[in-house]
Amino acid sequence: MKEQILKRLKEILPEIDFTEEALVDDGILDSLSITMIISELSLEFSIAIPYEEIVSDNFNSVDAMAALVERLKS
Amino acid sequence: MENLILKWRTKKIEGKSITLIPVEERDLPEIARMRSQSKSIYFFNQGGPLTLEMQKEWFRQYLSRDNDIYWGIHTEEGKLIGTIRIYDVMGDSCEQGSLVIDEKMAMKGPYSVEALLLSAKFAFEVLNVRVIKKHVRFDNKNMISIDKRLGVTPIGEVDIRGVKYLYNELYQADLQEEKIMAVIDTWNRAKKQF
Repeated sequence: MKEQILKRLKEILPEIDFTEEALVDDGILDSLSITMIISELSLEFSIAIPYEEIVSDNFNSVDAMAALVERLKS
Repeated sequence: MENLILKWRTKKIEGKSITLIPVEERDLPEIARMRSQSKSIYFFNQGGPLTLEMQKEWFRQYLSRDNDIYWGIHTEEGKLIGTIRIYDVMGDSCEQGSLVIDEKMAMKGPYSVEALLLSAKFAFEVLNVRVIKKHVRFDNKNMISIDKRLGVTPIGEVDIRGVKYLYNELYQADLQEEKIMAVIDTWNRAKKQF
């Protein structure tokens, strides 16, 4: 799961260092990048990401995104 | 030019994730609330919360001017989630600013970038300005990044009330409309699929 997410993220946002662990809080991801990630995760994994799940904690790292996807798929 | 601006103060601009609707008196309490959120206070360097009375007074003065247009940013569901403004329209230039998105909605969709894009296109295509001037606080990482994606040219720095702001200019030929619309289209596809 994590590898699959990382591969897609690198394709859509090659300029971002996804080893960082405060991607949102440190301003590495801007709001347009977050929109791109939400769209890609939704389409790639056939999940709906509810508004209440779109918070910085769920997008600060690839691990957090993987955990979010796992949670929404289950 | 003045008549054109006043005429457009009655018109909506439809986008894909948002609609820009000229601000009306009834919007002011919600705008005052959003302008009193911590990020607005900080990035506008406004010193504290904006009261409804302050917002009403500002709006009264706005209505007496004829060189700016102030829109509310509304979602597809009709919810007012922010504001944006084109102002100081003079000759072949104008300013773009007063961008606010409710802190609860800032990460939830491409609202701010589409508001920037729609209002910039309005300035270029309707007002026929040559250049849009933009100021962003030096530490507003999100907006600096969004402005770069929009296609701005960095010009320099200015001091506004003791704080450093970056001064950028946007030209129509540099506007990254296709790239931004591709992101918005994908977001819409993802949103509507489920």
